[in-house]
Amino acid sequence: MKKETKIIVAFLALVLIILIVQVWRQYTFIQRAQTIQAIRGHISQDMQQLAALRRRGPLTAVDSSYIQAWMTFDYINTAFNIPPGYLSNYLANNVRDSSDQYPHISISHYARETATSSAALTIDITSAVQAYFNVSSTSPATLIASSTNELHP
Amino acid sequence: MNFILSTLLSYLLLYKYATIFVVVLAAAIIVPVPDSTLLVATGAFVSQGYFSLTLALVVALVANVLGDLVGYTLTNRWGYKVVKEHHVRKMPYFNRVEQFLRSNAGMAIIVSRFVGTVGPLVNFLSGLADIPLSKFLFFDVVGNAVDIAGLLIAGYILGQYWQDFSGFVGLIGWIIVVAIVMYAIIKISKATMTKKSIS
Repeated sequence: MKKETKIIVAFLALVLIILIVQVWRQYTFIQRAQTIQAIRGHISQDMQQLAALRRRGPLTAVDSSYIQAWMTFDYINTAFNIPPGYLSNYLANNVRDSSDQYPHISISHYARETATSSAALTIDITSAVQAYFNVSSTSPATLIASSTNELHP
Repeated sequence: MNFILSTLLSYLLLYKYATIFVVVLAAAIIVPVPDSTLLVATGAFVSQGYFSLTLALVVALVANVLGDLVGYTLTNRWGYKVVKEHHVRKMPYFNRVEQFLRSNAGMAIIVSRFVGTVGPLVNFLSGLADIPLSKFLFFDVVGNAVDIAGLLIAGYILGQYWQDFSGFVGLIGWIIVVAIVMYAIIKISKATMTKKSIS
């Protein structure tokens, strides 16, 4: 190989290395930016969760997924600050049989007593609680009346 | 969530403090019930205004101390007789454990309150090692108060998210168990090595 050719090849190799370094720098910069974005996203998510954890007092419609089959109606009424008549009215209108133990009975026990599915009743109660908050701006009479609407036709 | 825990939670919501008393008492004696999870749940219910923090703390503390006293009294009264009959006292390892408990009674009683499975065993051993009742009661009340208050406050802080973190309670418990066992092994083996070197 001629001396001139050697110099050109060396120059091109140097340019290639510089280019690779530049590309790598650019790539890491973009990746870092993405990582920063991801970290920012995580932090804001964590902050939101922390803010949610700090919230005390009655639960709201956002927390309705918290309702589970082992929970009693009395507890749901207290935790969500719902008048006892609302769910009682809902059950009277949407479940074929009824239990006289209401509200001191769990959803699963109520389902067993009324020969309905515990999972389905839990979903129904969750929907009823959500519906309560959706119409909470209306008068109490409307709230009780709204519980008579069938959620599961 | 398993069947036992969901049933206990239903009972907790129905019979409130009576359930706390019965479950914590049973756990303190040696019945394997998820009392720690139940107390975290109670803390969450306190944050929603369904339980009183003070009452829950007092009921759980009384039940725990009573249950611990049952274990302590049983072995303190009849344990020695049973041990003598079965020649357990002649075993060198048993003597070392007894000696360890006598010299580290306070630490052993307090730390074991945080681990459901180890607590009742330490109660039995404390009775057997003839740890004075006043000393046992003092450390038992202090350890239980800190443990119960910690679980209730954790539940209170977590609120409706308590179920997402209930697994950590067990994990922390097991970490403490491993730490206690390691500490005991190091202490006992050190004592054995010192004895050997003297002899």
